[in-house]
Amino acid sequence: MAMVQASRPVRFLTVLPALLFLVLLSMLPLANLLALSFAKVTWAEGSARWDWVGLANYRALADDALFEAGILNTLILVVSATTLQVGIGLGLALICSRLGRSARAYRTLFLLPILIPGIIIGAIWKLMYNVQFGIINQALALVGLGPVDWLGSSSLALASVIAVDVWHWTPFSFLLLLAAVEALPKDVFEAAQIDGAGAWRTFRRITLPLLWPAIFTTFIFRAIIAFKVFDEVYLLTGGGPGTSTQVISFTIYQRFFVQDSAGYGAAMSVFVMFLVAVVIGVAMTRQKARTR
Amino acid sequence: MNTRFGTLRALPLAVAASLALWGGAAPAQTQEPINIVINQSPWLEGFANVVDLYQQQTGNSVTLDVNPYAGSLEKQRNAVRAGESEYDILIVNGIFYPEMYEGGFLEPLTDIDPDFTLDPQVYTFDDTLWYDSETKTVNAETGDLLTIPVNPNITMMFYRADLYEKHGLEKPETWDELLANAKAIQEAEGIVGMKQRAARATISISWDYWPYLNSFGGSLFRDESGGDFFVTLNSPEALEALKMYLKIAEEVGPPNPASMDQATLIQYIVTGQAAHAVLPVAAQSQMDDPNKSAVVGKIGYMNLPHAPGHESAPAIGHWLGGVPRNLPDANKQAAVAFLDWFQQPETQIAYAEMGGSPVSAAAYEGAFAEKPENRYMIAMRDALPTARRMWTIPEGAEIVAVTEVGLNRAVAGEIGPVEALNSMAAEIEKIMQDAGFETGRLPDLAD
Repeated sequence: MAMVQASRPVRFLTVLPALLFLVLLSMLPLANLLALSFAKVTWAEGSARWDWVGLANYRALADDALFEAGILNTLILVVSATTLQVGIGLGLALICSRLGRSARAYRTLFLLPILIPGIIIGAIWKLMYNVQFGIINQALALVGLGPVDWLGSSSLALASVIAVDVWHWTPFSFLLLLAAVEALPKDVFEAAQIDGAGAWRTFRRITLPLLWPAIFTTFIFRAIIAFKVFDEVYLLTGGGPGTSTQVISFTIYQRFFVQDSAGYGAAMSVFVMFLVAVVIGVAMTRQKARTR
Repeated sequence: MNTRFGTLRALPLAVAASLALWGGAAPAQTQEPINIVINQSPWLEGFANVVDLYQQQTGNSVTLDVNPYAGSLEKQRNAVRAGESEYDILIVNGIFYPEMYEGGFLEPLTDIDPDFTLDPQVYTFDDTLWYDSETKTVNAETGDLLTIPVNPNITMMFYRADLYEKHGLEKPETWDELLANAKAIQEAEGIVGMKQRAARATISISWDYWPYLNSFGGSLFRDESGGDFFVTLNSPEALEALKMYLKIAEEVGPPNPASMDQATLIQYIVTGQAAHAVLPVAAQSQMDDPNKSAVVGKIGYMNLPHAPGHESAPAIGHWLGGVPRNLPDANKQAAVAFLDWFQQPETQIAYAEMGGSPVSAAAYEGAFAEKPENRYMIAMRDALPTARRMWTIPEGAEIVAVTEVGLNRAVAGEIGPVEALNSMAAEIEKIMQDAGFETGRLPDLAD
């Protein structure tokens, strides 16, 4: 049957509702945030007053110790948590793909953490980490160790938060990578087996390269989500002790809402969005180059 | 019951019910239902009890919207900035009330009801109930009455009176004496000598450090009451105060003091694992409750220590009830009717009897305060005259964000006390400059 080619205006009108919807829901709030980032907002006599401050809010970022700590800790969390989640997720996916029928039960079990709301995860782990009566310290006591102040020690707090994040989000990586593992072409592996390739060589030379696009995509997805980490820090440590678990979303929350510095908080948000976009853009470009 | 707050008020209900019988049969509702936004604090239970009593006595309906500390503040900001507030009474903290005052968000109580007068026995907490919008200062002489206090939260020293008696210790007058007592108990009993509220939060460690700062002769500004906002947080006195704070944390504190929040302090005290803790007076309600405490009858209360030659300076962190401007008149009237009822001497005594922390001398100076179970009231009476507010400017929200991080980093060992004070002073100077104040700061302290 011959396709009817719609005229250009018709095509435009067809897309217009979706475009308007996108502008209303995404672009306008972003434009408002951008405008806010160049202003100082004060409230007096029941109404808001916006004073134009140019780039002052952006310049102030350079001297903000909490912002600096937030960026650094977020990068540490993103890189370490995401690497662990993708690594563990890949391992679990490979194991699950070989389990046959029983895989379904394990799959459900592995996915459980991602189904639990953040607030409950915070409560569960705060109790587990408790110095006095937490189950982790109780287990350590059985072998004569501890107690360890998992959340109260500056040197351990960030690692403790990362452990919770890994527990919470590994199922996400597992799910994406399991789909990729199950879609791998079987004939390639049969040929490798016939050629006498060992398990490690098969994994390194065949499985990993074939899975690389899926691994990369999973890593990027997880990194984007990890960059926004908030609830785990808010519930477990409140950014402390000191600035040891201060992450950027928590800094933005404090500046924007608690401190009520809307303009400065907006500048911080815009900068972080820009930073994430750049990091992701660079990673995507390098991946494309590698693929070519 | 109309409160969203849970029902954990079995004991006081008998008192409430008997008081409700003053008026015979249940009275008819005469005011619009009101909605109060309040935070989740150790004193909430007592306040909820008194709200129940109001409903029983008057037939008027009250809803409590209970939130975490920061959540309550956010809801209050949103309410007063909206076209019409969803809350009829805001329970504002003694740290954040200046932004409500200067923003013009609260209606003077006497504008709502010209006959409203503050009961003379109600404590006025350094005149923080009045605000003069012309001079932008809290001032009882020239200002409008914007709020009445609903909770007298000042800090007091909670200590193990039984262990003091056992080891023959005297109540400490100075911080050094406190340190010596805490060491003696720690060594003899194997419990933590002194717990400090050194964690970061919306306001936590700042409130804990301020009594040290003031009782060493230090201050945030050179003369805030006189309108001089020159920053003096990096003074030698402030440094001595911070060194003492850190010394106590290091020598008689728990292993990781920088993560200790108020709930943890209370937990340590009621489980008998700490000898001293500085806590808001409202926390006393948990000390003698056999369902919550393993040290019933063993906790004593005293005013905070001070440096030699200075006086004790507990920090005021009281709570104030005010009525938003953006409300219909009938709701404003209903809100004032509740506040007026709340401040009356007989209500204040009932409030104390139901586990609340009253704000009127009627409760603290009556026979009720002399009972052993109300021993905290004697200490409170001694502490109130020297209690000090932290600041009275709306930039307090920005300042406390700086001090929470700076002080906590010093306790965590990320930075030294000199760097902490110098950096906080610089940041606060900038906040004041940006807000249009004539300001400056002391030269940096030398390492």
